[in-house]
Amino acid sequence: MQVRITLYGSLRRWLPPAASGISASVSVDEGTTILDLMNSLAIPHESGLMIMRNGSRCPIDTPLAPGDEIVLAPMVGGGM
Amino acid sequence: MERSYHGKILHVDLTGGRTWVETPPESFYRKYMGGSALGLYYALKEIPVGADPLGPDNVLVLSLSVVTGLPISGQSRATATAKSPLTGAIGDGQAGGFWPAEAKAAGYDAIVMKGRAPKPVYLWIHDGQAELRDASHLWGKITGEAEALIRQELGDKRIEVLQIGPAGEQLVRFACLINMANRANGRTGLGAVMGSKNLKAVAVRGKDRPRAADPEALQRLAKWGAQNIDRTMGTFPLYGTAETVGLQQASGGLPTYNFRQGVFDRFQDIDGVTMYDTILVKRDTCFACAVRCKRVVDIQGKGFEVDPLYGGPEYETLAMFGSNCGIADLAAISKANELCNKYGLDTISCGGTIAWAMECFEKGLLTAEDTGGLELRFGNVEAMVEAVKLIATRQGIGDLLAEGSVRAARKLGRGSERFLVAARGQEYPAHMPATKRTLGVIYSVNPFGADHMSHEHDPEIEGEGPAHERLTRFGILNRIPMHDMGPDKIRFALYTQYMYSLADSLDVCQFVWGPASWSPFGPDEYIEFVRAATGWPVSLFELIKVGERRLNMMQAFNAREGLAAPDTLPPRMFEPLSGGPSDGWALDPEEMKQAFRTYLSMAGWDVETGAPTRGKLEELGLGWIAGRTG
Repeated sequence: MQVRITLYGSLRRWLPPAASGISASVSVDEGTTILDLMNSLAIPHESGLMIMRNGSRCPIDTPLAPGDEIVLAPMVGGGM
Repeated sequence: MERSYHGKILHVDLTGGRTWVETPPESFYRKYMGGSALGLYYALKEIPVGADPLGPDNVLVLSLSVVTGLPISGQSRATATAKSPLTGAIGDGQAGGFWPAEAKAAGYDAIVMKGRAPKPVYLWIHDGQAELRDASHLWGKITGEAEALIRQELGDKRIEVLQIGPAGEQLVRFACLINMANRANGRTGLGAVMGSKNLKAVAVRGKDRPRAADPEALQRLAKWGAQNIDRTMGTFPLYGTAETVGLQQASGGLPTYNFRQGVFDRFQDIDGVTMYDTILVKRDTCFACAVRCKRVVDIQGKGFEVDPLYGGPEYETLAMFGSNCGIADLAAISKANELCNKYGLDTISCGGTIAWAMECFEKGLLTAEDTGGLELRFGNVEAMVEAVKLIATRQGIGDLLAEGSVRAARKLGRGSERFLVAARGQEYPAHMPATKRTLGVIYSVNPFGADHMSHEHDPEIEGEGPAHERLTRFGILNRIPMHDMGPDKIRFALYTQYMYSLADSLDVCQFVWGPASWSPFGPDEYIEFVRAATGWPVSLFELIKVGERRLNMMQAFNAREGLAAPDTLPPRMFEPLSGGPSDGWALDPEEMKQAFRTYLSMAGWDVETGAPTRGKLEELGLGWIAGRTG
């Protein structure tokens, strides 16, 4: 199945070569989770991330469904 | 020094050119800890009610804390406190760098300055000695030049200088204090207070470094924290606060075109990766901090030249001069940042004021005749940079804008107040209440005006399931939806506000020391830190009460001035945003009204006047103020 992933901030360094802008369509197997998808793209996940599936925040182990729109951004604070 | 603080407060009467030293007891330090709470103690004691913020009666306090200068990340910060010329209420600002640790080594825990020098002076503090020196030759100089001259004439390159630039001398109402030519006690216009006192700089140097009560415990904690940085902060050290641009865009919370949108189509041109790849030449740091988040940029030949001495733009600056002014030119934003650091201007209020002026110009409320021909339109790179220069020197339209957007709108009239994005007289920073709802409350109730570093933002508690471990320390156990504004969410905002308030009283960095999940140190480590530093067997309860005490001291100051009631929200906050994930989002007036009442009740503040109740002040050991607030 196909899902779309959008990577903000420094995560865009991990976009696959076929990406358009900061988004890419990715083929994944049934039962793949967001964490699996991140691992397949070698996206680091040790520190805080904002993870959204179809516009809502969700846990990293959420299973993907066909056509899902996944958004990832590093979760850091404001600025002085 | 045999302990982590000196027990000495330096008092300076600028009118009479006199200095003296006060030696408060240990109980004073344990009650206030330092920083903002300590500064407020003197502000409340020594600033007469109704004092002109730009008159000699105002008192400017520079304060360190019982932990400043110890060898651990995130402790070299200083607070400035005075009555604000921008808001008319209490003023407050923190800055990091090497000045705070060096000021501590120079021999004092705080400097309390009153009066007005008959001619420009600077204060030179070295190894416990304090003297006022002539600054006539420094007046009018930009920060980098003044710093070099002071080091040269005192013959020591390691002197640290906290100073005002020409904007402070010109009494720009959002002028700031600058140290290292690139660190700012940015908000509430305290640079103008220093300018009004004819005080150009405070130069410090010393060898009397603080000693922790338990050096081994401190060393263990410092090592643990340093090892924790990568795991908790991730990419933050590498990309700095600029990393936030992407997060805000992703969540629809990047202020754009004077807060009309939460997304900016060219956001990538101004984000942390672009900065890193194109103009960043160095990551700078503060004394003893392993994070190294500060930016240094060097730009030659891209339309604007930017001197690396003046650092580089943080997220706030990128958003306020960038997306909020419709500008995607990183060189221009960096130039505006450099000018603010050279002249001593708060980048948040400066960017916010210019964005307001741009909207007024585009809507015909400000004309080319008003601006001297400056086409102040969104996206006009040259006009934005020129506006910063005009504000810093109060020339042309800059004289009006130097008053800050709220006063400028009042003077201009023509319906321009409708486009203000400010609370309690201070421009909003670059975090949007439409996406993070508790900001709408905190901006309006915060005693020193709109501020984004006064509580934990909604995403840290968003979602379902258990709250993260640090929040459970406050008894906050469950996650709460992003846009929920019920009592549990307000309680989260208030408790974390106490924690941030503690950080500003200990003068620690709120990135390194937070209730946030991504900070290397959390509430448990605060306890270890203060115990190791001072030897006092403190609990989290005692520490949180320091934060609550400081917040109430600020509000009590405002109550004396009749300025304690929460500000109303700007009309813009009720207009739906357009575009991106936040399309159509706006605040609900009734919900916010109820949220204000909930907050005031929980804080122990009068729901009508906003004044802290007598009972609340007495509970916090502030009965001495209660008699003065009625």
